[in-house]
Amino acid sequence: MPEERRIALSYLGRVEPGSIDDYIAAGGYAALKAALARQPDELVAELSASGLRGRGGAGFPTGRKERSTAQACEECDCYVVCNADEGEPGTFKDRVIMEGEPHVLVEGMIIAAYAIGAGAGYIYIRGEYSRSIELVGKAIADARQGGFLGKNLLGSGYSFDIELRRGAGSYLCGEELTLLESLEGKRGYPRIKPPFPAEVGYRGTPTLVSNVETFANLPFIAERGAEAYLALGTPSSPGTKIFCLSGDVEKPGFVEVEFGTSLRSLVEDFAGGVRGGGRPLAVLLGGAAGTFVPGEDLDLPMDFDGLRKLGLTLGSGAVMVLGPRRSLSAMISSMMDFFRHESCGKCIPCRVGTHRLARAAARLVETPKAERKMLLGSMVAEARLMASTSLCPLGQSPVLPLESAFARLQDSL
Amino acid sequence: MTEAGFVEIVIDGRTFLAREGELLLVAAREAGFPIPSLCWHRKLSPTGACRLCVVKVEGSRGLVTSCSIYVKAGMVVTAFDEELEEARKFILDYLLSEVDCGTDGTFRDEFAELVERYGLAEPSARRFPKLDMAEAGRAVDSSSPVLTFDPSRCVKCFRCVKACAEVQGKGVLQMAERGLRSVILAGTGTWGASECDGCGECIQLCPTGAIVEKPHRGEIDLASVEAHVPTTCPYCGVGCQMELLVQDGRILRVEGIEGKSPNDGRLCVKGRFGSDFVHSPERLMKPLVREEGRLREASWDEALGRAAEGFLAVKGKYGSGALAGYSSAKCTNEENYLFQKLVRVSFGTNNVDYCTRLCHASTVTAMLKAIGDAAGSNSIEDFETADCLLVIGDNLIETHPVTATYVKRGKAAGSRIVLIDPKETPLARYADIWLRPRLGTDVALLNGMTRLVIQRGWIDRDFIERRVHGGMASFAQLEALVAAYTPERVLGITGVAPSDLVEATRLYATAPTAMIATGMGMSQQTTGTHGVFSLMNLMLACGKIGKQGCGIDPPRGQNNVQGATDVGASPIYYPGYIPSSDAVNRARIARLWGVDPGELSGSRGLTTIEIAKAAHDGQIKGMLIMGENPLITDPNSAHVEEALRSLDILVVQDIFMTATAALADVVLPAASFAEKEGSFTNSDRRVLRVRRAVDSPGEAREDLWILQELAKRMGRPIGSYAGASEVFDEIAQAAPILGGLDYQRLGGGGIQWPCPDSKHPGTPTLFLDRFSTEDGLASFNPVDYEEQSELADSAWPFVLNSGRILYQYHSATMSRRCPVLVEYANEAYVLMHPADAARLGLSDGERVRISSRRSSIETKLRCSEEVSAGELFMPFHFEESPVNRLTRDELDPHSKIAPFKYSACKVERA
Amino acid sequence: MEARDRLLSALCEVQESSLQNYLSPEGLKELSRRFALSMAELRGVASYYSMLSLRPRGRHIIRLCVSPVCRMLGSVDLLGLIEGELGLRAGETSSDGLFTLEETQCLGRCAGAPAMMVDAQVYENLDIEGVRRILASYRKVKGGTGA
Ligand SMILES: Cc1cc2nc3c(=O)[nH]c(=O)nc-3n(C[C@H](O)[C@H](O)[C@H](O)COP(=O)(O)O)c2cc1C
Ligand code: SF4
Ligand code: SF4
Ligand code: SF4
Ligand code: FES
Ligand code: FES
Repeated sequence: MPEERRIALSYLGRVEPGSIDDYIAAGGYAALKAALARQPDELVAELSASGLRGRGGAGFPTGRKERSTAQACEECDCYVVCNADEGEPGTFKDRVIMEGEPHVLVEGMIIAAYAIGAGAGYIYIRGEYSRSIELVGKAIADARQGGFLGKNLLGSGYSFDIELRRGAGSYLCGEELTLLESLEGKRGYPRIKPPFPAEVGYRGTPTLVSNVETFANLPFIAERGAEAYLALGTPSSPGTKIFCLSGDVEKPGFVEVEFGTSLRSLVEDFAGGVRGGGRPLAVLLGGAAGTFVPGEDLDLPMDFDGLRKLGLTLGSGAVMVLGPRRSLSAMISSMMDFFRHESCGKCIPCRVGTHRLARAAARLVETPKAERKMLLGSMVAEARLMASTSLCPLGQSPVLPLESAFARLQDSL
Repeated sequence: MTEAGFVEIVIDGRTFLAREGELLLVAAREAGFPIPSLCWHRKLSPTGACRLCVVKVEGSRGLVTSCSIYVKAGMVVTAFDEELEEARKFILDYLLSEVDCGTDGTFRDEFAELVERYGLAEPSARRFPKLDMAEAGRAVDSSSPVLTFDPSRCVKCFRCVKACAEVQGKGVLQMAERGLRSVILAGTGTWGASECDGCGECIQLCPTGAIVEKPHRGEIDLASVEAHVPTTCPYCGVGCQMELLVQDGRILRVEGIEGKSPNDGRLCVKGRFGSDFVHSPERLMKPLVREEGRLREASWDEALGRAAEGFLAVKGKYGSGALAGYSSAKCTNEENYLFQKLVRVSFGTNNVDYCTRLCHASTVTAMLKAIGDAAGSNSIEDFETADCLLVIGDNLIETHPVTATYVKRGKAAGSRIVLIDPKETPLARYADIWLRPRLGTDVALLNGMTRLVIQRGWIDRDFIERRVHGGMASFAQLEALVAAYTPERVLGITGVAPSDLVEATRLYATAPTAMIATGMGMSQQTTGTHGVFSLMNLMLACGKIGKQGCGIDPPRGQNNVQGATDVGASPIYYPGYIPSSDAVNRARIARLWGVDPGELSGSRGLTTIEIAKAAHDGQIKGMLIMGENPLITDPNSAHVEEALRSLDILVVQDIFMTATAALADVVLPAASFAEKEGSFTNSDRRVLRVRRAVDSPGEAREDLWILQELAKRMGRPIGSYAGASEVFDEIAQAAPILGGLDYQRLGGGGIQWPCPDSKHPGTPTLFLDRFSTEDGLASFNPVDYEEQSELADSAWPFVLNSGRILYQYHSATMSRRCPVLVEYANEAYVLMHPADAARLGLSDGERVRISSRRSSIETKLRCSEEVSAGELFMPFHFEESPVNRLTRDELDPHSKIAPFKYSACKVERA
Repeated sequence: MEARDRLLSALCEVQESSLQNYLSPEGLKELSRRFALSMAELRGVASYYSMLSLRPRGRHIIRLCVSPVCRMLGSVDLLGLIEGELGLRAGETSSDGLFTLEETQCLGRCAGAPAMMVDAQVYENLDIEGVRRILASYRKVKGGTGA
């Protein structure tokens, strides 16, 4: 059985959550000191070399984003924004980090900010995460008190501070450009992309937007170097990943393992297998904007590119298990309801499409088995048109689970 | 190589040149690829909501919206193929399941047009059934006076939201809710109760029947509209270009003309909804003559005869100097030109003036002295692009709403606004800093700012040395004078905190480019000229004029204040600002006019208020008034009334029976702006065409005709012209600044004077090389602060300020005959600070009596923190509460302007 | 004029200071002045976010997760139960003004599904008995935070 390997969660259980003294005693903020001793561009190179990929869902190389933000903001102030809006159903890893040891996020953000030369940072936490808001708020204050934030931090000559902002209930605000709109106090409408945040971000200035877990990996890389990081995981997805195990399993929860760990191991070893026994009907990877894997295909290496090649998504790391007697149609229906609820309504295809798909999915549950296939087929066709014409990734998402269900799970409908 | 800025791109296999950086959608359409769209509009930032404009671009994944990407060299684009057309049809079909389309003929429906184009007009062709939770159930909101909002036709293109926010800078509208429940919201859901001020920009930009103009909706049928007549707005001095939609001989709708300066399609509520007065049944339709004390209808022949006889009698008995004329800032350049020609030739005097004396005479006096020209130095667009804008005594948002849109857009783009105003005007919320000096203390404030500029080293030494007469030596005098205006002293006089004074000064003085807008708040004081002098001193010390993006504009209150003086309606100037004392010019003009130079008076004529005073004193005996209503608009109006009553002959040309006309011996019904050809010149010196759209009612005639006829009957004809165009050609000969203009050139859009010859493109910014003074240099005019001659005291404890509001105009003769404007505001009131009201035991809405040393009037009390304690404000538009009975006619000695902004008063329960 | 990027926080604060858990007209008017924003702009922003309300709500807000995991593990039944217990439908406020029931999307508590929040307090692994107990505890300390 594979071992857990904790990086983002390395302090979990070893410290009193949110205690800066505990954190420092356990080795915290040493990475920051190491980072401040180096030149920013060296640091960016190190982070790039580590091959770290964003943990917010898209798996984009973090180093590349940092480099372009750093370049774009040579002349101006730029920002670092932490995306802690975690709203993807089945995902709760960011909360585990923030409630387990918020300082690792703060430390990671300072390192990133120093590397790209940002003057200010924001952590945008979804409004429902009251405990995270509390702990991160305290962590920021304590870090400031301890000289890790603020003017001339740790005597380095570098100044940086973080403000906490809370969301107020919108999944779409987790999409990076929408998040920036929301940070600016506006309705959560996605911006037209390009430009990307690295070019035009918060208040029109270059901005690095990364996920909580992404930042939480930075102290490790800054302290131990890219080599040590590359030694973990797979060549295309180095390092570790927190997976969120939920649904019909014996031991739902989270686990941080190296990339490349098999799905079967996650379900059977770490989650203790299907609750009540048997083979799962299916596993939903990556949440509502994710894809279904049939219960018999669990021998998959969990890394970004391996799954992508199979037309699957690793996404945010949600692993949702459907027991053998579950209704796939009902699952699809709740996912389509989710999209309808979260569509911002700005563009026609998604505004109308999410509504129609939710309606159709509700019918799917009631339709005689024989007709489900056809109905699902027409849903897929509509979702494809939606995907090709929608403004933002939300409207492009419903097609993912629908297509994967249609392609792999027709017979389980 | 290709032309600079143009690059090759390929669309659907065709290679052509497109402007680099141009929106792909625009470039494609220009090249003949009709890519559909709903949410895009040329005036708005890309929205990307409707998705209809999708195309494929080589190298980009999937479909991209052509309204959000820009032309790059070598771009290879597919605009039309089966997949794209399928996607567009799918989107339209989707939209059809959500909202209704089709027009009843009162609006254009771009959605319906696309539905037709994509073969979806027949319900049977549609794939998706109507959604049950869609808009159908949402009620139409017709609470606004100007529009109806029908959510069931709203395609959610955001054009209205952006029209209001990005174009007009108001941000009244926003989408509410999300997903399929999204709905356009005004206020808390009732348009009529929202902050909407009725400018109608959202109506103009809405592509469907969701927002439709309400007035005349029952009558208009776009297919039956017989003419779209481009013309110039008859209200304020912005000079908005607009189109009159005429059906059955009536103006049923007004639209802003997109893409034309100065307004690029924008209008304010008056421009868009203020034309109904043209068709008012109260229009004067027959000439009237007074008989046994009463006015009765007469023929033109009789009326003109009576007028001519009357004037000739006065002239015979008392001489030419006993005649005078009030020309009009509402009338065209051509009319004003003929008017002054009539006064100078037929009356034989320079006693011609008009209401400019009442608004900007002090500004004019000070600017002429300091920089040699009194017109706005810069284009309206500079209000948007300047890094800093200093607005002083100017309620821009209400009095020049379209200029204000430039200001607000500039602000949104990051420019800074310094506001100086005792009253809280709507601009205050946009201002980076708002100084609130006590009424009448501007000179002290501005001197204090100049002192700071010197002290902090913010002066532009190079500019002073090169461009100011006397250079640093002359500056030394200014420096010596302002030295006494320490921040503490300024605080004592004005009440403005030193830190605010510093911040305001810093913003203005250190901005790379900075503009000044100065208004009536500055000019209408007995110290008006000094106020503007001290403002000019500050500007010159900072070197914030004479270069691109820097200057001073005094926005003009009326449509043609600028033009009237340009063409010589002035006791001092001949057309083109040549002093009447200039014998050479007089001789030149006499030749042009075909009269003997000796017949033209070379002495300075009387100004507006001097004329009234002279009439009161029996020195003026006959007056011709064209389109002005001095009884309401002039100070100390009881005095004016006596003056007018004492005349031997008073002749009034107007479109309505105004209070002034009611006193006349002869009333001549004139044509409105919509019934004649001509031109207006706006605040930024743009000469703009006025065009005939409808026939005059009854026997009303154009002022041009009236003036020619009157002169003829006085035996001193002023020429006979086939039309306004010929008059304009003569103006171009008389006034060198307009020398290069004619109707043909103006047909393409306004041109800014000076435009000396037919090749000259016009002049957007004045003074780039030299000032218009004799030596080409500007001058400092150091002035000390003087206390107001009338001060509040225990008997007269309040200081009354007067001014305008958005919905009414001048004496309201036009605006109060437009139902929409009346619906917005039709009641006189006085604003008082709530604390004062409480102290006096008065409550909001009560009737109060306001008295000054001159007279007293009644009106309604409104408690508001817009005014400071101890100060009052009243709009002057309302005849029933004529605030000018309270104002003084004590004049600024330099410019003869009256202090409308400062009268000591008391208030009691009526 | 306050900087716009503080608006969302300010909206939350105004809502929290209201006894009825909503953005009152007076509160919005105050914000309109502070931020120089129109009423529609404020309401537009507020109505976008599901945690903000323009209508008065109960003292306690129950947010029951109806996202896929919780729904699979029974939250729909619990929804019916709470509706019955409180005599209301989702989205409504109980007649005693104590509770407003809202459906919410994933609360990030999927390992403890089905889950719900009452105000800031999270409850996991809910079943019928548990929900009854929780409701009762809030009823008992009428007015308390229950946390
Ligand atoms: C609809 C939608 C919701 C998203 N929600 C989140 C989220 O809650 N948290 C997150 O980190 N990224 C989220 N993302 C991804 C972000 O857009 C973005 O890729 C991410 O913040 C980048 O950080 P990373 O590079 O560290 O992954 C979401 C994307 C979409 C399209
Ligand atoms: S795809 Fe959906 S969520 Fe994205 S902009 Fe369009 S309507 Fe909004
Ligand atoms: S009429 Fe003008 S102010 Fe009113 S909502 Fe439309 S654009 Fe805004
Ligand atoms: S009201 Fe008109 S302009 Fe506004 S969103 Fe709807 S369709 Fe577009
Ligand atoms: S016109 Fe491009 S998306 Fe609407
Ligand atoms: S699905 Fe309910 S908490 Fe995640």
